[in-house]
Amino acid sequence: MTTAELSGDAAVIAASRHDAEAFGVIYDRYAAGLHRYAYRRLGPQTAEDAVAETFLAAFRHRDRYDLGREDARPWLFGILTKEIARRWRTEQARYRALSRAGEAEAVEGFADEVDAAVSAQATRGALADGLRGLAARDRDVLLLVAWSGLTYEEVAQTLRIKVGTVRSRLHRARLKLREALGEDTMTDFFEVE
Amino acid sequence: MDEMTMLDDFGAALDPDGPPPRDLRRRVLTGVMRPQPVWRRMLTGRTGMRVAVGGGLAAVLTAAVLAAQVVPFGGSGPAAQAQAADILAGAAEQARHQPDVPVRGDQFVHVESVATVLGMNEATKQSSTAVIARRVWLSVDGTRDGLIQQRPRSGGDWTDTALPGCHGGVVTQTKGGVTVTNACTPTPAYRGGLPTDADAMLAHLYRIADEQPNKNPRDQRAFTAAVDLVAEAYLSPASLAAVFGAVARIPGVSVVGDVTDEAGRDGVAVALHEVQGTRAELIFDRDSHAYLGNRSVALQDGDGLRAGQVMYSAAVLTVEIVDRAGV
Repeated sequence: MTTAELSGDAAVIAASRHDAEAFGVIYDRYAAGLHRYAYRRLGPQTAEDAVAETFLAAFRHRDRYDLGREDARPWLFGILTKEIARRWRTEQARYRALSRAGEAEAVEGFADEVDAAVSAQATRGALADGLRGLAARDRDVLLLVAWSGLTYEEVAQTLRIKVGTVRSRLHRARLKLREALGEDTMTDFFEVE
Repeated sequence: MDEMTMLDDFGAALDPDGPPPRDLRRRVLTGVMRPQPVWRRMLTGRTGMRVAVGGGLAAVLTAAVLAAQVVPFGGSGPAAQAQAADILAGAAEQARHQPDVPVRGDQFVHVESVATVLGMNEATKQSSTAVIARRVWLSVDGTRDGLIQQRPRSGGDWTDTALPGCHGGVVTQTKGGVTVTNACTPTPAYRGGLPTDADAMLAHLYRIADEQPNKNPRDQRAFTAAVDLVAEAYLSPASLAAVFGAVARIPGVSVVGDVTDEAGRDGVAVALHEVQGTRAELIFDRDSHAYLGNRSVALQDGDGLRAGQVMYSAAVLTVEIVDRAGV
């Protein structure tokens, strides 16, 4: 066991500049989280490609990592975001397929009384539709906030934007998503942070 | 339910079934380490990334650079390939006469070896040589804590490297009071059920080759798979014989000539030229044809190497099945 494995991300990345193997520690720490996030957006095969490319790009650029940053996740999610952007066709196709799956289930469901599961399916279809209709930069913010486990500040770091911009994009994305869901209620709309 | 909660549920419904595929890790790390020579795979061990190259080796750097001592014979082409086949047939025959040791999952494969490793600082391209003695205890079923010990062959203290086992799907590593837990799949040091005839073993080697995510030629990947199977490992006599029988059928495998192995024994090397400009060698006892170890030799100048320079050389001294890790 190398000491790198028990050190912070910055120390591990610093070590990997001389000892490539240390980079495996970064993979072991974050592959699962990055893969899950990419998988949700891109589906199985493309998610694997995106995550592999993310780690390889991160490794190539490890000399540029700001060692003042203890947590490598914003850096990695930033690279992953770009890798996902390159695969936007796959992402769009995924949402389209998920949207159709939702409709099909819902229609079938009406015949024998709508139950919770069916309505959940329909909701998912509508959500997929909504995600597909978002501007890419709004979708990145929304999904990083919802699915990556990063804080607003970390999302800002990830996308290299201001926290205020994170909030405004998130606000806009939620508004659009809500429209897609066909809800007219404005009740908790303004609690958007 | 607001849309962020719905998005949570939606996301959970889209989740993969489990952790990222193991292939993905291999793909990434192969990319990171490319090209990944035999000695590096051996040092990193069967357990992935965690064997310290830095700690054990950095401490024992010497200025010596050794050149491959080969007394070539047999020329090249079909003759050299035929001679290789003879040596490998002898090695297989020799392997078949080894004791067939019963192996239990809770035991350890214990291997003692000596090695010379040419280290390369990837940033500065400066090379350095480590001359080490090495002993490992590898968990048979991969669930027990194994151990690697290395020290300079000139003497000194053993440097321990823990190899935490994967127990119940979890590997726990502790150092300096800090404990890190990761999901894992056990990596058995010994697998029963490997093919016992050369044909099936050859198919097995190419199957492993096809799983490797690199772009090396298929024959080279199969040879690499064979080296990985026999280096620092225990195989049943029949399977070990099958490996040597299979290697004889990999196109391009030929005899190199007489060598002195890392432990000073008279050997003969059978090898494959690799596209990286290196030669991967299996070394056998010159008389009995028993397997002695393996080497990797640079064939051309470049990347901080000179033609003929030995990048890695290991000689196996003992292989045993033991009940516990450590001395």
